[in-house]
Amino acid sequence: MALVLIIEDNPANLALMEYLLKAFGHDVRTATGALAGVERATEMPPDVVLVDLHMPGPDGFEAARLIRAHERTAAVPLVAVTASAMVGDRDMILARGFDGYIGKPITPETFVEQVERFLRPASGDTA
Amino acid sequence: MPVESSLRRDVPAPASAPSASRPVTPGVSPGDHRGPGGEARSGSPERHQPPVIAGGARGGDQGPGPAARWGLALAPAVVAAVAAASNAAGLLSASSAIVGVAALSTLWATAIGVAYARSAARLTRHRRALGHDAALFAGAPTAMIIADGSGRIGLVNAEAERLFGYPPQAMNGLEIEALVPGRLRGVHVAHRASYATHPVVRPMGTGKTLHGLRRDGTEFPAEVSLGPVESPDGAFVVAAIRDVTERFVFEQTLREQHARLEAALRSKNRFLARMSHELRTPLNAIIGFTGTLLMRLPGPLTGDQEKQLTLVRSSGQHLLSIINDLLDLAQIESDRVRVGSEPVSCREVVAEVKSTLEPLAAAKGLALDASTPEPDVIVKADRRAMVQILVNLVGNGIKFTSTGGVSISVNAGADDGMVELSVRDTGIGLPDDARARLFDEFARLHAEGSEPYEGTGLGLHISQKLAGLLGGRITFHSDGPGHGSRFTLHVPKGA
Repeated sequence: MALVLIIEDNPANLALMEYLLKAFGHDVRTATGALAGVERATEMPPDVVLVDLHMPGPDGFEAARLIRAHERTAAVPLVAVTASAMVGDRDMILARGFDGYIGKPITPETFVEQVERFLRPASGDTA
Repeated sequence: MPVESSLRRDVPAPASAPSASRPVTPGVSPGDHRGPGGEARSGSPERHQPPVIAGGARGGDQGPGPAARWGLALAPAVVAAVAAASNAAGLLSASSAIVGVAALSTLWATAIGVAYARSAARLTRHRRALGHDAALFAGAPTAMIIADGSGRIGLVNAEAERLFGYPPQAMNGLEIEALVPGRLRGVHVAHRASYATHPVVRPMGTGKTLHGLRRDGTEFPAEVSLGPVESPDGAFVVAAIRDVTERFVFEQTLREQHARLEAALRSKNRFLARMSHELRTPLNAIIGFTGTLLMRLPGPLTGDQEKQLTLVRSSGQHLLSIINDLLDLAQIESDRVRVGSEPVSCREVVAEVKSTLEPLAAAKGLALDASTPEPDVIVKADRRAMVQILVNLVGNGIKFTSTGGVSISVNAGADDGMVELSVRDTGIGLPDDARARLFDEFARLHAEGSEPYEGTGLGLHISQKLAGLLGGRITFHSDGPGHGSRFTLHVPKGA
């Protein structure tokens, strides 16, 4: 079981990811904007952060930059959740601070497994 | 002499009468009276050079004799004598030429206008040199202006006067910049300077819109061609000017319409990209929560609930594929798809396509065979685009086949040097009349007497476009209805 922070502005998508992760026993925190998400991340810090790239105002890239810049969260795995997974996007996403990405729409059957792949052995299974 | 008369008729000189004895030019003091010898020290460049006499005047070498030749050399140096000089091209008697020289000599003291007088003289002699061409120049249906190296107009034709709205002779002696709108004069001077460094026949200010200024202050878009005129008296430039208002207006309209069209296309593509994002977001939740229900995460399902949720999910997924097709199309149409060109392993691509579609084939009880090449075949392509094309072709094969199966094969030994990746199915095949439209947008296959097959009709269209971007193409073969189909992707070989 891990502590997962989800930063996502769309309530339905947020609810889906939260539901799936909780159903598989993970502890979930949520934020609906980049800045609120960064604040929550630095409070905890979480074992992994899922970040929606498309958000009004400061976007997912800005959230990633701020999380990376903070000493408490600098090493936390960051996973982009994005619908814009096109050719070349992968390299761009990795170059901008993320450890990887999960394409939208998510596949419920495999989503949790995909997230768990990003957990660092040392920081997982805190409970 | 015909040449001379036509010259006079068509190109009236400032002083239209051939009067070497014409009264002195205004502003010139008649009191100051120096002989030709005195003038030599006044700095006239003509005297610093050997007494070369331009063009037709040379004919005088065998004609009127030394005195007349001198007269010819000097007379044109004064405005009032321009016409005389032009007439004097080897025709005037020695005595009248000498009279001319005598009258002219009274003018030399005045510094004002000397420089102009010199250039006018050169032009005049040049005009003589033109001979027959002068008539052509004068009557040419294109406005033409001859200016000297300093940009002073020496000679214009009637069409130029008409174009710029000047009365006859009124343009002579003007700075050429007087014909250019004030805001463009600086640029024009620069144009002129650059032309002087590279004087060949060419359009002026290529790629830029030039403007002419009429005498009444109105402007018109102009096209100017320049040509160098070399004479023993120096370099002149002949400019041919065309009023291109009509074309200018036409081009402007065309440009505006083009810009509007491009803006409309951009907004269409923006709209499509935005809409597909907006449409996909709620689908994410629809497909996702249907999935959680089918995973029975919230609790057990009845048989009917499961059947209905499965329909919701497959409909959602179908809708998603339509949206993705539209987005792909929008991106291909707006040239926003950038395909890579890198070595791609056919074996890997085929394996990926097979693993992606095996569940779909298995669900219909079809075999999906992939004979991977041994050794591997490397093509020069974009891996994602190749996978997308083959997934579409294999997906079609599965869709249109109810018994048998679909197979993928790779052939690196084609005659044209391309690598062929073929997808065969044992499905319904295609009637001949369907072939022509097969790769069109929204082409749909209707089997006789049955419901149309599901799909947008964009798959093959997009695949063919992607194949084109890869430097290849997709070809089709069928032995007719009921005999299956074979689609082949041809892509360039890798290095």
